[in-house]
Amino acid sequence: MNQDIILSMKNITKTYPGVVAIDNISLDFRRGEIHALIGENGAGKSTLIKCLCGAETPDSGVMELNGVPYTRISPRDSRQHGVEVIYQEINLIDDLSVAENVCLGDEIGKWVSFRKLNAKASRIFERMNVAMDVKKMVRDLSTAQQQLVEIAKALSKDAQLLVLDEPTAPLTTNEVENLFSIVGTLKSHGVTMIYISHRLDEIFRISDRVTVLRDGKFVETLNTAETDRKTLIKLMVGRELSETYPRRSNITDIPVIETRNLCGSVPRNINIHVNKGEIVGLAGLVGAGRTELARAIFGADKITAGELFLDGQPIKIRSPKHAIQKGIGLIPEDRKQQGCFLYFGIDWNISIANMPSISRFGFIKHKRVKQDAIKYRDLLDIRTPSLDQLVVNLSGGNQQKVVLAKTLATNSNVIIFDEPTRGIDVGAKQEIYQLMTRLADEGNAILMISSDMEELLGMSDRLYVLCEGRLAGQLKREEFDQVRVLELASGEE
Amino acid sequence: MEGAKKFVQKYYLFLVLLLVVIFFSIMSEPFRTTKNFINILVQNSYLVIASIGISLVMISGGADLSVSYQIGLVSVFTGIITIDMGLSPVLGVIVGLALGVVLGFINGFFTVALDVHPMVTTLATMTIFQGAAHIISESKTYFDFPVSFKAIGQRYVGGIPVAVIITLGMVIIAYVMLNHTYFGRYLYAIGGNQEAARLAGINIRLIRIAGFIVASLFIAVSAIVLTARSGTAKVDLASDAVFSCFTACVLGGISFRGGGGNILGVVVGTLIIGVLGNGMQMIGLSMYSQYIVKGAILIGAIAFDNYQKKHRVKKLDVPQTA
Ligand SMILES: Nc1ncnc2c1ncn2[C@@H]1O[C@H](COP(=O)(O)OP(=O)(O)OP(=O)(O)O)[C@@H](O)[C@H]1O
Ligand SMILES: [Mg+2]
Repeated sequence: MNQDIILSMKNITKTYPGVVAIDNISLDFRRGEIHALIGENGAGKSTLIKCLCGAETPDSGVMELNGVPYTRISPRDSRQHGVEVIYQEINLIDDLSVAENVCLGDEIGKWVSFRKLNAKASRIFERMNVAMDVKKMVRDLSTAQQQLVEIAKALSKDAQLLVLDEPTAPLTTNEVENLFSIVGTLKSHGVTMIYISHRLDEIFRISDRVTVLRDGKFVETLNTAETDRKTLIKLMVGRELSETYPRRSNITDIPVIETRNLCGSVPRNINIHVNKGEIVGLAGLVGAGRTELARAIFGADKITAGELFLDGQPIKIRSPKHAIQKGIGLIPEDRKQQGCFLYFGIDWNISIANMPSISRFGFIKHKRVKQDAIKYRDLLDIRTPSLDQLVVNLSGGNQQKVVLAKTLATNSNVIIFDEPTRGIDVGAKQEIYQLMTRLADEGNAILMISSDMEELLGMSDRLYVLCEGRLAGQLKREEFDQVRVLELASGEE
Repeated sequence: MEGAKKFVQKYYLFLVLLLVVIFFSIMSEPFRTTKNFINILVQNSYLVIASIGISLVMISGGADLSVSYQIGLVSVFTGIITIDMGLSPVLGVIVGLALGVVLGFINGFFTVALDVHPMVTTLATMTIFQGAAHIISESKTYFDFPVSFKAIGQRYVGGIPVAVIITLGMVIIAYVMLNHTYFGRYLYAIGGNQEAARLAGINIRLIRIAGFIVASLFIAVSAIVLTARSGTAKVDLASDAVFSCFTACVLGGISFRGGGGNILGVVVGTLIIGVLGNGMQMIGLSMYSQYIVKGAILIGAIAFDNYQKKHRVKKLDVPQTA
């Protein structure tokens, strides 16, 4: 049967200095299907997307949109032809309101009517079943909320082909459900979608077909219904991979870090502690105050009331600098804004938080910088042609690994991981889980925030659930249960 | 082909300098003399040092508009000490440098305390420094500097002008500071991403103030070199320095968004400005035409900086580990 092809790519190649990002890939997208694209970090998924929508120009190859062949297209033209992309990296304008961002690029009359703008944006968020103040400035939103704005922005245009590059990475279960119901509606209206995600369960839930890329090469396209998780992983990684959550072996009951009635910008009267050798999870919905709690402990936000104890001693953390000196490290959730220095090298980034201990009399020991960079490249499998490659040139997942390395290099003994595996592929996730476990077993205390429920339940030894800034409950490992966590998180007691 | 393109991309500043030199060499006979080239170097040594100072602030995402009157203030102070008070030139230099530290602290303190863009604070301090310099010097011009003081700007050692040696020393200090100390890294980090820098354990306020202080130290050195070379101290000694420094920095690849650029670029940028100024004089271009050309160059340099950012030329010249 001759399927109706909306977009076909033939022999597309795209190289960057030192990397073949896309190597002679040919791929068809059928009208109305949800086509998933998977592969390891740096496999070339985002690059393929950028080529098809005109954000990058392929070195060679032809594309055909609705039967019209072309070798290059401007981003503007591709949008006019109904291609909308939600990029992996958030590209909103910080100083504009949510509504302005959503409606950016489509003119409602000559003069901008803010009332109409706001009304239009509100309608879209209603459709998405998301509560959002459309007059708020984007800079005041959390990462997850910003991601929702990106989605709304794409939905506001009438797309024929909608590309979603890791849209769910910062989202929690509820928002993902909302997104999927929208995706379902769009599909019933005949919109074609290309869906990229490292969460394989999502692929199985929504996609019709799935294409696997590895090292820039096409591996295989399969009907999703006819394959399984194991097969996909094997195709992606090129070998069998056992997916397990390793267990800790040295859990003690000696609290390393402890909060007593701690209040901050969002957190209210929080009493939590993390013991030596333990990984403790923080669960909650977007806006529950998990990140704010982490930042308060790390001295990045003010503690307005309450106390913090480190190794049993009360301590006032004055600043992130002070926290790092005291052996507290934070891996921030937002890699672009808070995590990395995009226009600097990988080695530069990895060493920047660790300067005092790798320099003598203020002079940097360049050898140490290189050594650390090599160590973490190997440990976290950072895929790059060279260690002085600018971080902006790395794939999203590899950027995330650099952010991890930067904090880990400080050798802290209390480590707060805020969304550590966002955008990271299955294989590297395993590495990170192993690493976290090893850190805990070596006697460090780990606090972990993750919007990926399965990961959170899998990795934590104990779990605190936050709801609207308050501690809604604590669960021991034996009591772990997804439904229970969601109940606590949404305040249904 | 690729190689040539890379070469041009990497060394375009040197090529521009070369082109400007060749152009004026063809146009003017007196321009292409060794004496004139040395003259250009000596004349512009103060500008190189001051531009480097400004570039330190710019790398951390700031700017310093008060440079002209910092130079003026330091200049008249050395005059007061060595001439009015008749004290030792060594003391004059020391007090001049100490004053630099104070001025830098003032700029840095207000910028950090008020949390506004340094353009605003240094615009204010510019006027304050100007006023203070006039009051302290009673708007006098000082001429009779001791020979030992003037030596800094006029004497030669081993055939090389002392001013040039000092400049070279300052270039090396700045280079080492930016590429080999963590203070330098911190300046880049703050300019590159302030929030990430804070979370990486950098004391933003402290480093920014320190950046202003070091910058003003460079500016004080520049003031001393200029005063010694011209044998004159007065408030308006370098009233157009702010323009020249800013142009030199932007031309030299210091992005005014912060976080990028290197010292070598600033040196070459300043030399381009210097050669242009000298050359235009040599071919007899009027003062006012020169203004227009200089303004056009600044706009061009800013446009180029913008273009680089927009088109994401992903090769900002940031020091990598050696
Ligand atoms: N602008 C660039 N300059 C140099 N190399 C680049 C650039 N953009 C991407 N690359 C390289 O191309 C390869 C593919 O990157 P791409 O972003 O497409 O990966 P990805 O499959 O989307 O990975 P991830 O899952 O981490 O998002 C990577 O090796 C990356 O380092
Ligand atoms: Mg990607």
